[in-house]
Amino acid sequence: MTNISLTIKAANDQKYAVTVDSESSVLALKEAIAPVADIEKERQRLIYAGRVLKDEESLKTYKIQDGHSIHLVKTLGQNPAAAATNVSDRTQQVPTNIQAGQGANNPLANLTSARYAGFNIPMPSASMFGPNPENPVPPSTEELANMLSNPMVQSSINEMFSNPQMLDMIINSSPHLRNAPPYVRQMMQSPEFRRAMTDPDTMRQMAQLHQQMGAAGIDPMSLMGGGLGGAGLGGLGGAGLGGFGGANNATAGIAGAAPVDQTAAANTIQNLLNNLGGAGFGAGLGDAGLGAGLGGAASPPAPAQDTRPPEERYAEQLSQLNEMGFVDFERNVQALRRSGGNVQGAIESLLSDL
Amino acid sequence: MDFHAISQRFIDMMRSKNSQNASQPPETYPFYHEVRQMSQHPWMYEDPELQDYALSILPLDKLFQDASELEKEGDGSWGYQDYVIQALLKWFKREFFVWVNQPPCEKCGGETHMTGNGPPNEEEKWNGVRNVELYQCNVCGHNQRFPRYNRIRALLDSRKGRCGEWANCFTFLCRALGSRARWIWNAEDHVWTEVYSNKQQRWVHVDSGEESFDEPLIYEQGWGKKMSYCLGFGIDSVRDVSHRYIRHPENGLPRDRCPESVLQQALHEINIEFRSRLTDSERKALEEEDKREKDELDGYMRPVSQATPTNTDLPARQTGNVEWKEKRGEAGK
Repeated sequence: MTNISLTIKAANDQKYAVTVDSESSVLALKEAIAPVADIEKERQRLIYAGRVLKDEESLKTYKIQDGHSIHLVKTLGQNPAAAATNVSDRTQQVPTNIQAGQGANNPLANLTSARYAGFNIPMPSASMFGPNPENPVPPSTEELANMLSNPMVQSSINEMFSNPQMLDMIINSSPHLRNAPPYVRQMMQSPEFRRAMTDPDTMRQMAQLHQQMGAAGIDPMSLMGGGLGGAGLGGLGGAGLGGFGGANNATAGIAGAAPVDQTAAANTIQNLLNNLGGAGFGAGLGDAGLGAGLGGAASPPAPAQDTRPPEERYAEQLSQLNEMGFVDFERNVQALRRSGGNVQGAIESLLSDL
Repeated sequence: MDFHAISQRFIDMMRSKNSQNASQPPETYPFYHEVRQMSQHPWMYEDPELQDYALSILPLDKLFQDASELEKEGDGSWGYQDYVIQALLKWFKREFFVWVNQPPCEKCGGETHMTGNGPPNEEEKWNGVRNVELYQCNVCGHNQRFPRYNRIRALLDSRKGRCGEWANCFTFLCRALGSRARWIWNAEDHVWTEVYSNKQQRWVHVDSGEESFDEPLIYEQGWGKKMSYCLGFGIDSVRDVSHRYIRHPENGLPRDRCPESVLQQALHEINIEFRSRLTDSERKALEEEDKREKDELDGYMRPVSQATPTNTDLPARQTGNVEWKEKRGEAGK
């Protein structure tokens, strides 16, 4: 039992001296390297004499002697052995989620084609679905929050909501969103919306909503199924396919909802609205997997105040409204002020007042 | 509970909160989406199983020995890992990957000519193929397909292609050996690699098809290629590196795909997203690196009289046949 000193050469040109027992395992060597090089042992790949060292082998097997050099390469992800399932096997199942017969304009058809080939979005691990994968359990709030902190998930959600085709698919899959005014799409495209959707704090707000609805005698799961955003958001992390599966759960949940005291429920919702800035209405839209994001969407900061009189500030917009037949100056100015100077928004506002 | 009433209430609330941005949002520009989509590209290099597979097929002993020899012969301006990349570049170009103009006939080995394009089959779709080139043998008339793979695993097995396949596979191998690497996309249909040198504290140009290391002027002055955008995509650093490769205004093409502010916003947003998982100290180090790179890139835009003098030794494009290069404007000045 003698100690040997080894030189570890890292890919960033750093060199580290490590001392271990000559009969240690490679895993023990990695554990000795971890605090020195600040790399977890799961992310270390050690190379000696042209071979990658296996964790379970001993240093003696590779004939590593005192004073020898070992190359260290750092990877981003976990060792495959540490993962419960093989990621490649799971991603093979993506095509089976595509429903047969969907039309040519279906953006999901591209998910298995080259357009998204580079996305390499991480699929949820088996641990997220609990011991029985045939009957998946919605992932916990913290698991979702961790997944949403993954920049790959955030980036893919951003790209998805910036794609008008994808938004059309999501909107048309939900009766509520289909009937919503067009500005819902614009809202979804805004960075604030996407930021709120991927904000782990939003998940915790939804968890609070969960508990409060339970206290009010409403079983959230029976009402909303997976639509609350659990399966939906998990699905978004997995290329957004799960979000459409959530629709079925939500429908079944809604159909099977037990009768509820309308007054008590309304009061509870009203209270939640005041406290959570609209998070409670995520329930109604959850069947598209957007519940958490919609409920948590924050108002953009108020623009700097323009002190010019309205006929000067909105001269161009007012003339456009007049050409379209909206001739009431005061109502036009109010609508433009509410829409921040946007003619489309002003028209929506004027029409809603009729 | 009346969900319709609830959603109507929600719509009313959101309507009252909605305020429109007067200027055109960046999402209206297709190039904004293209950039965001391309930023996903380097993440496929990070699969640890794939990196383990790469380490099992790389001749590590030879690469490290070659790097040690290069280090001894060198003048100390490069670090050991830089020499590892140079050794990898030499091996990759000369022994591992094959350039394909027209693929030789799989039956008789004869010359082929292109007959058109076809759709990928299911397996090819899974391997990231967007387009399959169809060829016919000039000797025996056999028809064969040449799929353009984009998935790394398929490229490690096929080991042939043009600059898209070369740059993809080489950039991945740099990552597998532990170097920070960027995939460089050029709007005029070329791709290559940048690798970060810890010794020199800067991103270094590498073109695997040309076996070119730290020769960023090879396209402008060697090939005579005119370019507009050169964007670098890495997992922690996304950057417009056009100034490194386009030094003289007369060699530039118009940058008219979107306003410059939209491109800068896209790159900035992507960097924030990609770095959100890092620790504060790592983020600060990257911000320092960004400043250094900005100074470097701005330095290339000094008046022409002070810029790098024209290097007449840089070669024209090696890969590809003469007609193809001339058609693309890459056959030299």
